[in-house]
Amino acid sequence: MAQRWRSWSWLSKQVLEIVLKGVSYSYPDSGASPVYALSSLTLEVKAGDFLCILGPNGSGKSTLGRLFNALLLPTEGSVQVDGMDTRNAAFLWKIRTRVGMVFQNPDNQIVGTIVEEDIAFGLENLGIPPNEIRARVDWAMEKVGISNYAKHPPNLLSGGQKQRVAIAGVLAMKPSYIVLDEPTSLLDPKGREEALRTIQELHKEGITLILITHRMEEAMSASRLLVLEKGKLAFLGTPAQLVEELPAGGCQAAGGWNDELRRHAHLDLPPAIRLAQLLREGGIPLPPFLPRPEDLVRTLCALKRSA
Amino acid sequence: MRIEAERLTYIYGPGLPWEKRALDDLSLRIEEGEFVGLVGETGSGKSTLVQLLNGILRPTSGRVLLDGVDLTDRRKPVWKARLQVGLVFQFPESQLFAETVAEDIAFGPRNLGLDRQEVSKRVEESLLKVGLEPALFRQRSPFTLSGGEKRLVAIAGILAMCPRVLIVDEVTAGLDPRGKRDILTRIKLLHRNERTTVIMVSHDMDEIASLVERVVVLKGGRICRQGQTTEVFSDEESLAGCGIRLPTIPQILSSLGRAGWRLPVSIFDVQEAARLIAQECHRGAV
Repeated sequence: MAQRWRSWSWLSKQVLEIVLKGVSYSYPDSGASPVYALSSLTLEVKAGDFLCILGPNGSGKSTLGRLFNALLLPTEGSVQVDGMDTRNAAFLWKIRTRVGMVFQNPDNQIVGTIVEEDIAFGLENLGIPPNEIRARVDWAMEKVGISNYAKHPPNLLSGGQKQRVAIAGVLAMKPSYIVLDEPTSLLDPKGREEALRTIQELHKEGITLILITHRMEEAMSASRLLVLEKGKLAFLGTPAQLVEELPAGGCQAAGGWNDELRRHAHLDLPPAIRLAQLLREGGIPLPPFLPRPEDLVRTLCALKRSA
Repeated sequence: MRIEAERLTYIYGPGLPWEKRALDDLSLRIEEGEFVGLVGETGSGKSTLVQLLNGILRPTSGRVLLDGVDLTDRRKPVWKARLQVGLVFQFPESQLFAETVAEDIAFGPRNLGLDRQEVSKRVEESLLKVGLEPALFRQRSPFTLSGGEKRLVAIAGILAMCPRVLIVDEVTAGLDPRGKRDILTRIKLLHRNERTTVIMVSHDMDEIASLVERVVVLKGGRICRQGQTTEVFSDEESLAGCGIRLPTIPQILSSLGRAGWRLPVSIFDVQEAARLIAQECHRGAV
């Protein structure tokens, strides 16, 4: 039994896909003329995807995140998780175990008095046998690198450690998808790095990720980006495509169809990407997309050596 | 207003098993009109220090002087001096409570016992200082505003007290790029136009590098390094010893430097960095 949960076997057995069809959402009591937090959004999130959702405050990112696991139900249209419609209450628990959620503030989702107890909380509620809970909790703690803190009270951990406890709690439920809503915005640089590394590891292992963030640096490692603006889809494509369409000056510069997207979605390219763009404009033969600062340094050095 | 911290020590829970020395014999002097960045790892004592500078906390030992007035003097009423140091906490929008923006901003000045006219004048002025048009925002409920606007209103509430020193703690955390830019622009203008002394606590070195004149780096409750921004951000190794990374552009320049490129490190402007790198490239005939 213990051995079984040490693998990622549950992932390969399912047909994995979240499908949103014409989804609109308006918060209840928004008055006579409803204000739509999201309007007519159609989207597929396939197995193995790493989708990053960007957009200004109030553009509908968190609303979208909550639609993925039936925390919110669409006002119009449908959301299907592995073929299960989120409006069908019979599927609710199945959907919630398949789509895990990690929120901005780990303090809001940590309930246990010690780390391992907290991670076991969800499993206990599912009525899973104790020895299997033990195995899964140990496995989840190992995966996010917090095994050494198993007996620690979570309130004495750092922000990055706490966020990893929250991720482990979700991971122990064996989800196919994890939705992370600004998981790093309250963390210091070290904590942010820890949490990001853990997130990227999970993606490599085959978990489908949906990451909501304001930080373009984080978005650059995603496989696809979705930019929301006033509840509408403003951009869907790879990070490389987005970078190509944003000039080095960021959103203050003008030009092209994407001008509107830039002006309203307020995206700023990370400094390293802007530097690469300026160098390219100045005639240095750099490839069109270098996601991380390290990539830029490596490419520049290779260019110099070959000169 | 000049701020002097003299040999400040602050101990949380003295005598308890979890006793923690948050500040350890720290001395610091900030002159009128300076723009200082306060950086350091989590737990290095930044938040404790700013709370001592504003008199919310009393030091275990040492003194805080505001233009020579000793904040720690228990014999004198020092609240007037304290009011001149405006502290914007992390996530200050959580302190908004009133039904309208104007009411919320008026709360502080009204408690000072100012008359009606003066209060409403201060409300108008503070809204303008944070770049929110009074006619559009005065009567709105703070809870209908965007995240960035809420934070600006919270800052306006502090500015309505007419502080001569403004301390902001992680003021852009959790905001979108536009909200960030708005707030930083407003703070820059306050510093330039009103000669307000500004102390900015942040984890974002790119933000610090683009704004402040002097950087103070804390580690373990002590000053680990301090100096002009360009000077502090030119030495990757000593900064790493304080648990701090270089801003992105200097980091790239420093990595290139280690690979044999002849480049200065403390350049924060992307265009300037691009120009220098291109120059080096052409020299090497890339």
